[in-house]
Amino acid sequence: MKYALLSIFIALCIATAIDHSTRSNVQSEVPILYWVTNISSARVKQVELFHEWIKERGYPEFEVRLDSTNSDASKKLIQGVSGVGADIISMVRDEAWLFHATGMLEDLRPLAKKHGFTLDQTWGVAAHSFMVGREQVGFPRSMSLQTYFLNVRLFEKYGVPLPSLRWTVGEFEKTAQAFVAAANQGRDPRDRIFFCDIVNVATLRRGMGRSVMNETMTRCTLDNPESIRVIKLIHKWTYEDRIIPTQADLDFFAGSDTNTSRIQLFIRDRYALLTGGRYSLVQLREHSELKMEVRMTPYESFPNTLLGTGSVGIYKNSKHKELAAYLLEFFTSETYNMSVVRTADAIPPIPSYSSTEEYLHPADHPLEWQIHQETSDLMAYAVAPEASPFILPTSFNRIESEYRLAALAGIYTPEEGMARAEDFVNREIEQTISADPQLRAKYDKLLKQQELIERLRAEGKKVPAHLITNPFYQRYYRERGWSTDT
Amino acid sequence: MRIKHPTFRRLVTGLSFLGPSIIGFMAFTMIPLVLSFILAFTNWDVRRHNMFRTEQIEFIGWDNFERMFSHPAFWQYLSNTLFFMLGIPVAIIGSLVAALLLTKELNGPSGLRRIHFIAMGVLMISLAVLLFTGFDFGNMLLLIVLLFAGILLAGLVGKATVYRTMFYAPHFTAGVATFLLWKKMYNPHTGPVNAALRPVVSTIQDVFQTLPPAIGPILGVLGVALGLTLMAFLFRRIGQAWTDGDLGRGALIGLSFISLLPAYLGWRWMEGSWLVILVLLGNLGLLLFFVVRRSLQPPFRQVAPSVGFANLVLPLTGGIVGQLIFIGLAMVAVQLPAMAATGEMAPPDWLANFYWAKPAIMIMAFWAAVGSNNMILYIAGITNIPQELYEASEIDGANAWQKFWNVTWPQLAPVTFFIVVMSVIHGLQGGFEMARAMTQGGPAGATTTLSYFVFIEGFESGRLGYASAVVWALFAMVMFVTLLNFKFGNRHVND
Amino acid sequence: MSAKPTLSTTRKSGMRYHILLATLGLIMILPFVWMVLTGLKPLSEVASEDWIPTVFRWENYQEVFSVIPFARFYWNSLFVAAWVTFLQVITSSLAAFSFSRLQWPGRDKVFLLYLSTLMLPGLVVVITNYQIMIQLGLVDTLTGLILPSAFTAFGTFLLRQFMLSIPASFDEAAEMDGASKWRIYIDVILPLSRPGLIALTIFTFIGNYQSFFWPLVMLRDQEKYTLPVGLLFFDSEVGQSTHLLMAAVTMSVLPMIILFMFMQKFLISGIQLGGVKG
Repeated sequence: MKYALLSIFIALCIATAIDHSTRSNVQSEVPILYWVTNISSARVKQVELFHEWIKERGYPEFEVRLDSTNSDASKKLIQGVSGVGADIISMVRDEAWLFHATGMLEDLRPLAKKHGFTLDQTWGVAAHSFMVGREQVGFPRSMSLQTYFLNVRLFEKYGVPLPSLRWTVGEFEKTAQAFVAAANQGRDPRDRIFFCDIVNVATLRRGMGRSVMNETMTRCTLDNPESIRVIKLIHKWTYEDRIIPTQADLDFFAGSDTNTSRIQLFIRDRYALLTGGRYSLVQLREHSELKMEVRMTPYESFPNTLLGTGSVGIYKNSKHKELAAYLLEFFTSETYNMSVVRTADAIPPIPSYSSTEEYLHPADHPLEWQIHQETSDLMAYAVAPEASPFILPTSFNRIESEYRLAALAGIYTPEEGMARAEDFVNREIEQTISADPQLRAKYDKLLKQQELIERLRAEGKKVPAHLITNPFYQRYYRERGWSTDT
Repeated sequence: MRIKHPTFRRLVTGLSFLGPSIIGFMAFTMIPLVLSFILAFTNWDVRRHNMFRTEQIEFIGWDNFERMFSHPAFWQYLSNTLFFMLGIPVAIIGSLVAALLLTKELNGPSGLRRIHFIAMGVLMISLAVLLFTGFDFGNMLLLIVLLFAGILLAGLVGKATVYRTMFYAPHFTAGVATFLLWKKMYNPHTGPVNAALRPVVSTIQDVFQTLPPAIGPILGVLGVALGLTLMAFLFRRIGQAWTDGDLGRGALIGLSFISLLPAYLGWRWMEGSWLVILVLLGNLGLLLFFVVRRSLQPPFRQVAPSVGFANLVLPLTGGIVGQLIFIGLAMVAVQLPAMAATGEMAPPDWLANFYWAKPAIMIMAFWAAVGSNNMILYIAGITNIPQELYEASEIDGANAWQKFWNVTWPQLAPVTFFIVVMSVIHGLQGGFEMARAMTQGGPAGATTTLSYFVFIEGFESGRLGYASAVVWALFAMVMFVTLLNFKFGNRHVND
Repeated sequence: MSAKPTLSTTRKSGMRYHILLATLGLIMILPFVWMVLTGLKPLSEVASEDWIPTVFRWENYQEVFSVIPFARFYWNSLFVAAWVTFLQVITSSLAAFSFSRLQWPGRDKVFLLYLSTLMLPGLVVVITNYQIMIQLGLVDTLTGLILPSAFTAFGTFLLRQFMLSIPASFDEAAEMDGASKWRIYIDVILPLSRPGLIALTIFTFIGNYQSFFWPLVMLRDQEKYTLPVGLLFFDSEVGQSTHLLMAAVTMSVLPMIILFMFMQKFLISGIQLGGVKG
């Protein structure tokens, strides 16, 4: 008996040795930094370029590895606060603020000055995605504008006139109905063609002049006629007009095709319009026969497009902070920016590169020139997404989508669903601020500002712009002439 | 004389053997346990209390618990958990039936043994050949026949062991692997479940399109009637038990209350349709006729108030679940003519559908639970029943059903009790793995149980103090129910 | 059974039960049949109503290994489960010996402490164990996966039950020969508890092999994933490749089936003695 146990023990020890020696981080000679982000072919290429670039510049040698398995927001958060975050952290939307609040991001101001990746180098409109107050916690690697790509040939095939670059909700609906009627004539109902893959709820709502949060982001504003109307519109478009596919339709595609990403379906003429940004071109370029144009998301009274920014920050607990800073410096380099331009990954972080010839008129893709020009034009309407510092983005998204989907599925009426969602979110906000005195102080201050704003509006007076923290309302008020720059 | 010395030495010896275990136990069980209990009363949030920020954790007393009970979705998650637990009586009955079948003495057919084997063999070989040469139609049928023949053959050779392996396999392999398997099987458009259902549904649609619309309510009433019949049997049993002096007054009242549960649940979940009113009236009527009427007369002998509760509560609960299922089917039946008329009847979306997600998971859970450890415990229990009891009842002229009810069932009572206690404990804390692997708690929170809720709160939002509070509240519920079980459920205690 | 029935009724009733059991058994294993067959199909045929692939695509199994680091997942799962089982068996048998064979002050109270944790939901300790792991710097390590699972009270409880059924006469005989407690443990009790040890080994190994929550919380590095977490990851990344997923699932389930086929006897006696866990 004891010999059996002893030999098992020895076997286990040997196994441990084998396990340890086959682990890849033991086998490498240079420091390895992990960059947690979504992986795309463009990103892989950029990392390769980065390794070459360091060699050229004679910088210290090290390896950057991409890690996409931990790239969702809650994992980044929990791992960060547990001490096992990746060295380099990608941040989208309001993750910069969120991560900063936990203390896990390094203050980059000294490194930024040293390596030259300061705020003034990049687009001002993206500032909130890597600046928290005056502290810099990251640097953008790219931005993208969400628009529709329109398949010109499909429109021509079914004899539907092309809509204009900016179109209202009414025009959108009419065109969509006409298209869907023409395209599906005589088709098997299971072989339907749809007009577009999704309609972005946020831009639709903003197009009616309403954001999900109030001007100072202190309270949720979902229980209002505009949000309800948005749900009713989407419901109508999905279930009555059938211009947007339902989940069941998507499942059906999933069964019969080998690759069912939205882009693939678009290429195969299932959609007339595809939601995307410049990054979609990476895949669309492989099908050069597609003649495409860009269209804005439909609006009701306020044209707007959604600007997304991806930034990169450095983990406070990283052992290689100095080395990580080189990656951020890389983002300001010509090599990187031109690579973004050429691979059409997105809009480059350094603004000057987006007005180069290569960006606007890429030699290999003449069909795209109109797209790039149109996208540039639409930048004028760009507004960053809003996310309140008083509630976790994941919580907010979970609640909002849960009730929106439930309302669409008919479990609640739109009014009920939105009322519940708003109530739920406001409770979460209450919860969050009651637990954190610092945050509560900030909240109370902003609440006073909110009251001031509302009073001024009621009296018809202009609101000083610095009082508004919601990026959407900043723009909205300015366009409407309701605010002044003091 | 040093009296302490031998005691001290024994202590040292005892502890030195215990050593490794208790160090680990303390470090990874006791200390975390105590810590977690303390932390449930604090405002610990990893976003604020971590290695980068120097804030102090504060005690907030019962705040976490208050917040939990006022959380609007808490009650939904609790009711989800309880709904899943409705499957427990069905699963236990399933395990019992399986155990009964597996403990029958199975004989290989004696005289014709060789011929059977040869016939089987020939059958299988020919089928295999047919399959591989690509018979285009009826492939599925051939597969089924082939499998059946193969299993039968194996069973004839290996007898109970083979069948037991097949029954036990779903439970034994349960885990993420099988959850993903079922997730793929439930896929509305590519999965075999709907593929099998589609022709059935379309036949139903055709049939119902030709029938008059009145057939719907008729079928609904039929379903309700079946449910009521089930309850009638149970009520009769209860009444009989009272008259025979096997049931105490307190137990009688308790059981009666429980039996009205389907009506109440139906009313809440199915929004007062006329069917539910029918069910309510039917149950009341049956209760009055079988139970109340009898209870007005004195019993054969007086017994303590709580006697006999344990004996009958499980069949009653099983019957209630059965009645609920019948009501559910009746409600569907009522809608069938209308659904058929649209011409677009299709099998449900299962996991993607708010109403079908839970039943889908429960079906899978039943599949894994029939052949579970419960079945094995029952097998052991059944084989331990002395034969003399059966022989004695045969002398009294008992048929198979009576033999079961009067001999087998009471003898299995301790096993049943144990199984119920463990099932309830697991049921209250379960559902996490299935939710995480199959539905992420959706759609719209339909499959979020309390344990999944802990995961969301704790590991997504970082509010670990709050998550600890929820877990301890859960544990308190488990303890409470277990104590109830011990008090009222243990037959030995009351007899 | 009771009176000996005639030959014909034996045969008839025998066959009837066989057929019933075979039918039920078939229903029970149908999902597995679908799993194995789908794992051999090319992707285009996954959705077809015919369960049998037109071509038996054994390359699926190879492809699984190239799409995700499946071999690594397998190794991690088996490695962790082996260590946990080993530690659990050793420490539990020592502790069970102490509780069942030795007398020392406070023994029964400490055992009660052990017992009281048996009914706890695992969730109660996960959160704080995670924090402890952070403090120890063991987050995202296999060591951190192994340690908390290796010292549960269940093993001690089960083995104590087994040891209690060993008559004390064996101990006494050994003591009269001058054996120390340690000798008694090693040479007398341990060999006699073999059925219990094997049952515990199987339970612990399976329980850990299937365990999912703790690795999910602890692991960050994909290279350290165990099978359950790895399968989930597979599903979320390449979920459309049902055929590959089914091949992977088949491979995950295989060790369990093999273990059961060889270890049935011990498993069943273990369940009957120790009650239900997992």
